[in-house]
Amino acid sequence: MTAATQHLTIAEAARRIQARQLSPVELTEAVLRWIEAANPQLDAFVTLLAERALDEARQAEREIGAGRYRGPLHGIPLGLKDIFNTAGVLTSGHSRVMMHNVPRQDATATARLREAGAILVGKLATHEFAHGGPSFDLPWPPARNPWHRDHFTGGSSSGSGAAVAAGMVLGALGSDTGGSIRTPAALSGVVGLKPTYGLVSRHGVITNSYTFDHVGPLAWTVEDAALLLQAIAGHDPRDPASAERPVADYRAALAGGIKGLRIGVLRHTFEQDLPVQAEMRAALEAALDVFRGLGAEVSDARMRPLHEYYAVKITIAEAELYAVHEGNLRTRVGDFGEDFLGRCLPACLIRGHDYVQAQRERRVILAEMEALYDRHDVLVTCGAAGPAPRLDAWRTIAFWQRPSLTTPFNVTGGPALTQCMGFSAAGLPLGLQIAGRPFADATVLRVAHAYEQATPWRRKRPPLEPGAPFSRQLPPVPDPATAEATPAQRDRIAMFVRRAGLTLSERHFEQLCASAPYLEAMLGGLRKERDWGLEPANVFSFPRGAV
Amino acid sequence: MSEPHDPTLRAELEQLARLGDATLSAQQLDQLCEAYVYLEAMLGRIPRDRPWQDEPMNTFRFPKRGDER
Repeated sequence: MTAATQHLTIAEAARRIQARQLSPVELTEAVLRWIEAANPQLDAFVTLLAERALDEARQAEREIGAGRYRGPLHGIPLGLKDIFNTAGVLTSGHSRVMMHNVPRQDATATARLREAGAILVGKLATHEFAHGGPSFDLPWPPARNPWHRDHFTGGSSSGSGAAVAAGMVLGALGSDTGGSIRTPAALSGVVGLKPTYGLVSRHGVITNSYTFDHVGPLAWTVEDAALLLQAIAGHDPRDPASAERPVADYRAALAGGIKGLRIGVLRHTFEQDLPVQAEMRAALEAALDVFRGLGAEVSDARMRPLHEYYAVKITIAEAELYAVHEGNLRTRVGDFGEDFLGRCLPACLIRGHDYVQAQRERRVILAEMEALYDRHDVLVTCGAAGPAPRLDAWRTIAFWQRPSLTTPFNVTGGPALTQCMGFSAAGLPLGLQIAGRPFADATVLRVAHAYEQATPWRRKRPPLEPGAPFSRQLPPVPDPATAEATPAQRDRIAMFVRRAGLTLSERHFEQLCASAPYLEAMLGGLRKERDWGLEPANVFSFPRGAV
Repeated sequence: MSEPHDPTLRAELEQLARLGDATLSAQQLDQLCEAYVYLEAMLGRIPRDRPWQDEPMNTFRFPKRGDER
């Protein structure tokens, strides 16, 4: 890119485009040149739409020239995680199972970006079906971290995090079922917002979990995230979870500072439940000092231990994911990547009443959160347990062994955002997480914006050197963890596999046996005496407008 | 008197019941085996290869503004 276009934010590019100091064609050409140079080292794109993007940029230029400026996304090059339907363009889920899937219609979020005049540069890498990864046995390689190419981007919106951090797109959309926007944002050093459940339509976005899927933006700054949210938020009758509420002015809400705002620190989550690395903890303490300096009231807060949210989320989400893919799991299980299977297959052990108990527990959790929301305007914790690990360090069994710092806010459904709060000694980003009550997305953005303005972290970009020598060799697919199941336990698991109509290789069966004890412990925790009147969080109701 | 039940099915159902903390008498297990044949047929009638876009009827929603406390 030229000095005039290098690493522009959406807000700055929009200001120049509106003032006709920057042409959308010039900007798109510069972005495409940078992608050509940088993407071979990052594998952030599944599909690049260069010609189409240039056509869209020319169209935007004509419209703006004719006085029909649509707003701050007009002429801005963006990317979409490859689970968003795009009419006439491959939407693969980064999976062999859908590697030829070309939808006829756009997802609602895709369509809203187009209506706002955005330029779609390409479809971005994801963990398989927004769940399993990093994987080394899929038709496309996993995205690499722009701050260090041998490290993980975080996922599942892996390409979105990498492409935004590297400046290959000015912003991107991702999805978040257990942290899939916030983790890549934290590990790649960008801003990622999981909006309130129901605020952004899920229609046309390949399902991971009906109950927990959220669509949201990844961007370099909080202001840019607010601009993207503004374009995609709002009721969509084609999404049964879509909220019928007025949409706030998220950019305007950034102003005003955070003096007097009550910030609750979820200290137990990163000190006891999932102890984070020392440099992470030090960065968080420094961030709290920044909040105090800005006039916020900072005090400790406590929610349930992380593993309790994790049990509710995993039981519900894996059962739903299994249901989505049940047909293909029975007939072409070998076409899925091993990491995806290591997460999804154990769901054959979840029974109907386990699912209902998890939904009932979720209702209790949602009620409990009210007291916390009354005491604190936002809650903060770390965005990840540490900086990005190496790609070759990942083991699927870790998904079952450890809870997550991000998942509680998929269970609560409220907004949650991660952003950069500094760098490790090795130069990798460290992530701060800010969460709020449902539909208080503007408050979360305001706190994040105040922090961003008070800190220097946005001045540093990943040190990419196009053309530098680089090995593209991927790590081998790790061997499954050793299963320590007794013969009786194996017989029982085999019974569930048989009853589910699955035909598994010995390797997949071993993987399942290794994860089963962790799942069974989660399910056991959910089987407790409850009042019969305690309803599940998901209750049938007639669609709005139908009665 | 009903037909004798498939011993494999009976063993599996007994194992499943035990997993649910239920200890069944022989008579209760007979009853379960009898009913299970019909339950399995019902489960077989539920399509399992739907497009991913088909949402469940009980999708979670936050209360509409004004509905909450």
